[in-house]
Amino acid sequence: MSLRDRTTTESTSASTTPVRVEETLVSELATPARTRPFTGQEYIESLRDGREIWIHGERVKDVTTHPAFRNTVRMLARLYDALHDEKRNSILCTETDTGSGGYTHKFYRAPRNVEELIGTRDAIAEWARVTYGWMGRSPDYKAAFLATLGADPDFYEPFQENARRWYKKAQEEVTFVNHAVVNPPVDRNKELGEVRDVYMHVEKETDGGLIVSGAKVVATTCTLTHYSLVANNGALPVKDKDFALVCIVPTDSPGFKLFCRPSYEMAADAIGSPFDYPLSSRLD
Amino acid sequence: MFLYGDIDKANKLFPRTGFLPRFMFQGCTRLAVKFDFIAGLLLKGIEATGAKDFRGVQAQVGEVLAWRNLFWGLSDAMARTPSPWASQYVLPNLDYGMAYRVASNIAYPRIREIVQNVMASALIYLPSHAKDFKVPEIRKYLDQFVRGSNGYSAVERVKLMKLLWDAMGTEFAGRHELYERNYFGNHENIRIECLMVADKIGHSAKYKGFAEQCMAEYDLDGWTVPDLINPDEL
Repeated sequence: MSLRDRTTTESTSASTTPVRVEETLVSELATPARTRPFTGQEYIESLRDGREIWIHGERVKDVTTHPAFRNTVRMLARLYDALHDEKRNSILCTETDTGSGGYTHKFYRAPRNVEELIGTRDAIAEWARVTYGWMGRSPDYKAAFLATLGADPDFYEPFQENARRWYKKAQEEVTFVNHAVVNPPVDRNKELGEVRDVYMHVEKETDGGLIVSGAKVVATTCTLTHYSLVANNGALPVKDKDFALVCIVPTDSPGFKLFCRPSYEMAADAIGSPFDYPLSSRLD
Repeated sequence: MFLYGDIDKANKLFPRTGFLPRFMFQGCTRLAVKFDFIAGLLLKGIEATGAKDFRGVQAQVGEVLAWRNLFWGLSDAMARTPSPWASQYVLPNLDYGMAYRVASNIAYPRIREIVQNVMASALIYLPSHAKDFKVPEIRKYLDQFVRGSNGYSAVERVKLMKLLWDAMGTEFAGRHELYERNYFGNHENIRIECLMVADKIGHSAKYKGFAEQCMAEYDLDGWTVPDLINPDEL
């Protein structure tokens, strides 16, 4: 059985009706690899896909124009534009170590010494200033994990080639990955394996990959990402094989459903103006 | 897919891969930038209300700046005292990262409390909407009665206070506090893990040894070391 990146997330809801997904789910393999970071406009375009987002009782048709998300999308686009801005490029970026000959945000590359760490810190700070410090899950956040894939790929044996491939890909395009690692606060008094109706776990192994079902909570900003890292984190240890899964899932994967809290951005537009809600109207 | 079926590795993913200290490094630096922003708003706020020369207010604002300095210091320390990682790579210092986690859990609500104490009703005394300033009939009252001190016009004052309210008072702001307090896990885990790590890497034993060094210098009969003088003659 080939497990190479064929994981399917059947649902992030508490759905109990498995929907088997047959088609190839690795969209990035079908398109040519990027060798430089997204621009702001390219980032915005990249969000126009089949992602399934629900808010206020409706499915979002286009996250880049929907009033619940549109200005937050544009603030995130500023981050990508900053990478290509001559004045800020030297603070934010360094050359890739993947052989692509391009540049990347410094935190996407594994550091070798204090000097590189200080440069990385300054890049994180400079990017945070673009959103005045209010974007808790900017793309560099997940670079905290993504660069580990290149520094120590052998930890992931027998999937070390996946680790190397993702280190290269993420670095070259400054992929926006977030994570969904926390189980919902349901039955906190029980072992993980006793809450299979809610917590995410592998339901079925197939030749095409794994069928996964269950819900995760606080997947901050996942609506505006390219991918989500799915894993388990919490006070309770994993004791069962079907909970021992770490994978990356494209945000537009079939069956991957995102259920949103109310949008402060949309509320700000409805009852105020940018003058009245200058942060929540664009950094929600 | 990076891992499947290996229960041991699944449980070690975050502690073993280097993710945690890097996550702390990014989170601390981002939070330090956010505190720069909040500090700037607060410094402008006390100008706009005329409270900036009060000793009590200065003490409170000084504390906000101290918190801001602490997080920049921790970010700096994480970068400048790295730990070896796989191959030729280095990781930000984990001890200072864990200190950031606990400190942020205390600092964020504290800063929000200070802003509310210092700004008080200035965050309440606000017109409903930008449109209010567009109505000639009430504009003159707003210009007069909501004017700021130290050269702040009514529009400048209200613009500032609404931004500060969105940062520290609105539902969005409240959610941010909840978010920052739990940013790195619940309030117990972030503390317990400091202890677990110290136990595991031998720091706890070192600290206990340091305390025992002091206790070994005396017993029921007085000093056990040659250089100190027993109180026999008193």
